[in-house]
Order: sequence, then C-alpha cells, then structure tokens
Amino acid sequence: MSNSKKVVLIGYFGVGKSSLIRRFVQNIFTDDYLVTIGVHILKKTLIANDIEKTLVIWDIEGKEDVKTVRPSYLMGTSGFIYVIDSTRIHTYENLNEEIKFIKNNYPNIPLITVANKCDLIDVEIFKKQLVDLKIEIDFLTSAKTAENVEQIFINLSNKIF
Amino acid sequence: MIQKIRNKYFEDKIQTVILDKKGIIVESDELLFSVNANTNIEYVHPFFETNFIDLLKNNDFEETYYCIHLDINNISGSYDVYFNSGNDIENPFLIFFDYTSRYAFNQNVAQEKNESILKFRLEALKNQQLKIEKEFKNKFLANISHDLRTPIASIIGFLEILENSQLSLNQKDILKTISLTSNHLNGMVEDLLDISNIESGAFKLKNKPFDFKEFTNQIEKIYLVKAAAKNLDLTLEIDSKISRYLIADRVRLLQIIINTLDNAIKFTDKGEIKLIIKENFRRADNLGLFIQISDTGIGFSSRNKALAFESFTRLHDKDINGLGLGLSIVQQIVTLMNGTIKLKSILKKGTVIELNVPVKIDLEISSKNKKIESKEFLSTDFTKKFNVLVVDNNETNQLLLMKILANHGGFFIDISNNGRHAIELIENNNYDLVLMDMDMPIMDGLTAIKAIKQHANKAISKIPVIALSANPTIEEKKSCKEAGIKDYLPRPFTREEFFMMVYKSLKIKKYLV
Repeated sequence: MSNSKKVVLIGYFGVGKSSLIRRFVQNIFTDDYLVTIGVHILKKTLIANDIEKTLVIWDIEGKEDVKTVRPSYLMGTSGFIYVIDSTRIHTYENLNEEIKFIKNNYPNIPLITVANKCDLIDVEIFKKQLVDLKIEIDFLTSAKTAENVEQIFINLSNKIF
Repeated sequence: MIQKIRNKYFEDKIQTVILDKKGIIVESDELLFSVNANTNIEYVHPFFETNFIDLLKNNDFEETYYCIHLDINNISGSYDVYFNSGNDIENPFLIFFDYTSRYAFNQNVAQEKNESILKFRLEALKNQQLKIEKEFKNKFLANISHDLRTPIASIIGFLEILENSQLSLNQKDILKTISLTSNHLNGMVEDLLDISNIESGAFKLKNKPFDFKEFTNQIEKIYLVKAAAKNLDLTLEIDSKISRYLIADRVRLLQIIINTLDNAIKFTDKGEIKLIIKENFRRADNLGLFIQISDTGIGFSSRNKALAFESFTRLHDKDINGLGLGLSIVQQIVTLMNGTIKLKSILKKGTVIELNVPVKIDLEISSKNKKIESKEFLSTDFTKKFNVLVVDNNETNQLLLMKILANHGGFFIDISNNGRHAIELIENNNYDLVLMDMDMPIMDGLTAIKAIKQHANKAISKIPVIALSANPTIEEKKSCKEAGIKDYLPRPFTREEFFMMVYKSLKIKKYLV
C-alpha cells in the first residue's frame, strides 16, 4: 500500500476525464456522456522498471473554475492531470490562470496538461491556436482511440514515485 | 418520540465506523454495509488509501467528503463521509451518510443542465464556423469576380469592334454566338459579384430619379424579342396610374425584373409570360409597386419552393446555364429595398412571382414635367480632332481603348505606361483628355491625377481626366473626387458608357437626345 499515490483529474465538465480513466483502468470507451457528480475513485497498478506503482485515481466532477472544486477532493494529492477538450476553446481559454491557481495552492505537486478528443481536430491548427493563446499542453489524447492515454499516467507516475 | 422518529428515518441511513490510530477498524454498526473488524480501513476501498493514514496522525482533525461513490462489499452508494482523526483519548471515527437517492436525482439534473450547455455551445460554435466560411466565400467570390471582369471586358470590347468591321455572313454568325456567350459569362460574373457584395453587406442601393415609362419601354423591347425567340406570348400590363417619374435604384429594379423574367422564359417551353406592374398604395410621395411575373412553365415542386431563393441552388435539370443565383439575388435585392417577394407555383403548371417594392414619387420633376436625360447613345460627327492620352500599363487595355477611339474616329491617341511618364508627356504636349488607369507601377493613377490637378501650369491642371478602375471602391472614387476629378469609370464599361463620359469631359453636348 505504501506504493500507492493519489492522482486527481481536473477540468471542465464534458472534457472526457471519466472517459480517460475508464480507458486507462478498464480499457473501455463509450460515446455516451454521463455527467460525474461528486467523486468516483478507481485504482490501477502499473509496473515500471520492475516496480509496482499503484495510482488511486480520483475522478471528480467537472468545474468551469478550479477555485470552486471542494478542497477535500484535492487534499493529499500527489499529482494532477488537467484535462481540456480540444474541440471546445471554452475549456482552455483560461487554462493558464487555472494552472497558476493549482500551482500556488498545491506547490511542488506534479501537474500535466492534457488535450483530449484529439481524434476530432486538425492537430496542426489546434497547435497553432495554443501558440496564439500562449498555452502549453503536455499531451494530446483521445480516450476514443486510446492515443496517449496510458502515456499520460505513466508520465505522471514517473514524476510522483 | 424524537428518538423513535430518528431511529426509524435516520439510523438506517447512517453508519459509524471506529478506527484506531493505525487505521484498523475497531467497531462498526454495519447499518449500511459490512466491514470486517481488525481490517485496515485502507483495504476497504481505494477512497481510504493514500492520504487517510497520514491524516490519522493528526489530533482533532475533521473533514467532510461530499458525494463519494463507494462500492463496499458489493453495496454501492453515494455518501457524505465525515472523518474525525480523534486524539490521545478518543478513537478516530468515520460517519457515512447515505444520500444515494438524492445524489442520483442531482446527477439527472446535472446531466440535463450540462448537456444543454454543451449543445448550446456546439450550436454557437457551428454558427461561428458557418459565418467564417460564409465570409471567406464572399471574399473569395468578390476577389475572383473582380479579377475576371477585366479580361471579360476586353473580350466584349474587342467583339464590339469586330462587329463593326467587314465580315462575311458566316463570320457574323460565329461572332454573334461568341458575343452571346461572352455576355452570358459577363452576366454570371456580375451575379457573383452582386451576391458576394449583398451577403457581405457591401451592396448599396443608389436611389435616383428615373423615367418609369422609359423603364417599362426598355423591358418591353428586350422581352418582346426574347419571348418571340422561344415562341412564347408576352403580355405586359402596366398600370397607367403609376407616376412617370419615380425615385429608386433603377438598375437594381430592372435587375430584379429581368432576373425573374429570364427565369420565367428559361423554364417555359410553351404558353405565356406575363408581367403586371400595378400601383399597390400611394401615401404622400410613397408608392408601392406591385410586380407580378407569371409563366406557364415547369413550376416548382413544393419541396423545391422552399429552396428557390437559396444561392447556388439549381432545382431543375434544365438549369444548366446558370449559377443558380437568379432568384436568390432578386430576393436579397428586394429585401434591401424593404420589399417582399412571394412565390406561388404548381409543378408542371407554372409559377407566379409577386414582388412588392416601395419606391418614391419624384414630386419635383413630376410637377414641372421636366424631361429626364435619356442616355441613349448616338454617334457624333466631330468638327475637330481631340488629342487623347491613354495611361495604362496593361497592353490589352491600351489596345482596347485605342481601337474603340480609332473606330469612333476624331481622336489622336498617345499611350503611356505609368503616371510619371504620362506627366512628362502632358508637360510636353497639348492634350484635350487623359484616360488614367488607377493601378500602375512606378506612379499610380491617383498620384498622377493629383500631380496633374495641382500642376503650376494652369493649362495642364485644367485638362479633363477620366479615372478608369478595375477594382472600383467608394473610397477610391472619393479620393479621385478629392484630387479634383469627378469622372470615374469602373471597368468593365460599355462603349456607350465610355463615350458618354468622354463626351461629357470634352463638353460635347450632342449625346443628349
């Protein structure tokens, strides 16, 4: 048990946080949108460099402003994944402020940024838009195609273990 | 009593679990789910993993976790979980409040709310994208039509010259076909330009006084020929009560009638085309024109009726000769005129299009019964020859202007490629008229016009200049006016339009009937 760490996925509603977790933990994807309220907690054990690493993943309800997320959900977190929906600019136009808030309130906790639903966009145009908005995204993912899904959790676990 | 109610309604909704400082379960009332005593709480559910063991180290720490979905020993529920870390005397404990049904209801509400927000935003995004695409389309169309205008104007110009030369009958026939095709092409380009201007909002109506009688005569002249060519009967009923002198955009009014009549003729193989123009209402100087165009053609199906006014929509297989812009332009211009359009049609029986267009009565001219200038073109004999300088870097344009002027007779022509060279020529020759293209290398037309109009030599500053522009804009026309010239001729122009302006500049009055 000592090798398990809490990870929280944050972001607007409908960006695909639950879908990313379901794809990672259960390797399932459905197109239906099921709103998350409160918290669902799932866990998955990775083996990296012969070491077992267990991620306890908190799938919290989506909020348009990270300041309104209940602090009890974020307490004791070892890593954050901030998820945006690459098809909805509304979910990332304030990303830098959101990240700043998290970093100020949870200093030294690793955070990675993820743009989901990348199977639905023209990646080149999207990347250009990110440059214009001065936004940095670590991973482009698709819960639908599974692209980069495992990688984001591996990347984060390498940072937190 | 209270305890009784509490027992009945609350206790089975709440579970208390007592722990020790290491997280081992000491006691549980098992009211919601069962947990094994002597088990560490962190094995019960991942929710308790990670940070709970750390929190147990605190004294008197408390926290409530709201809406936690837990599945413990095969019992699922949504709970608010109260945690108290205890202290040196009291054990830590957890209280689970079962709000499963309330949270399920909240979930439904949130589902509906979020879905409607997402749908709304998606619609907004789609609209935005459509707007961008439409703007792009209009800009693209406007640009391409502008670029097409100049070469088409050259073709039509040269064809006019060719028509006046010595040709065999066979050649004349071929020329006639080329002329028809070129004019058709020109019409399509003009339609494209119109639709892109209308849709981008750049389209402006120019309301001016005009002679309504002359207007309807013109329509009659054109359509007697067109209807006869297809062996169709043409009936015109023009209400004689309509004032002779009206104020409206004559060109656009003519365009909507022509587009509708052309459509009627195109889709009618036998029977009758009818144009009725009536006075709908009259209040002070306001007059409502009711225009009805009916045919006995192929008609529209009820499904196609709804699409009749869409741009670029061809509804009939027969409509191979157009862009599908005709009725769309009519509708949009009528709307800009604050008018209305109505389409009635029965498939295979015919179509009736009714337009209501408000215009103004020109009371001033009507009262004086003043004659409005008729702009019919008449060739003129000159007693003297005029020296004309053509300034244009485009060789085709140079050649076309030279041919038109030479064919007409009465002009000595010089050519210059740019503004700077033109000014040198002007300073060393006596010109009666300068034809100045706007877009040229080295020195553009506007700069050259300014240099001429501000020239210290009065004989030079007085020389009339006609600005010729392939990309006419209101700003450019205004700049020309500010530079001191009124004569601004957008390309393409007809021979008539060109000579009207030339005569006016040279003060030749004979062109008036």
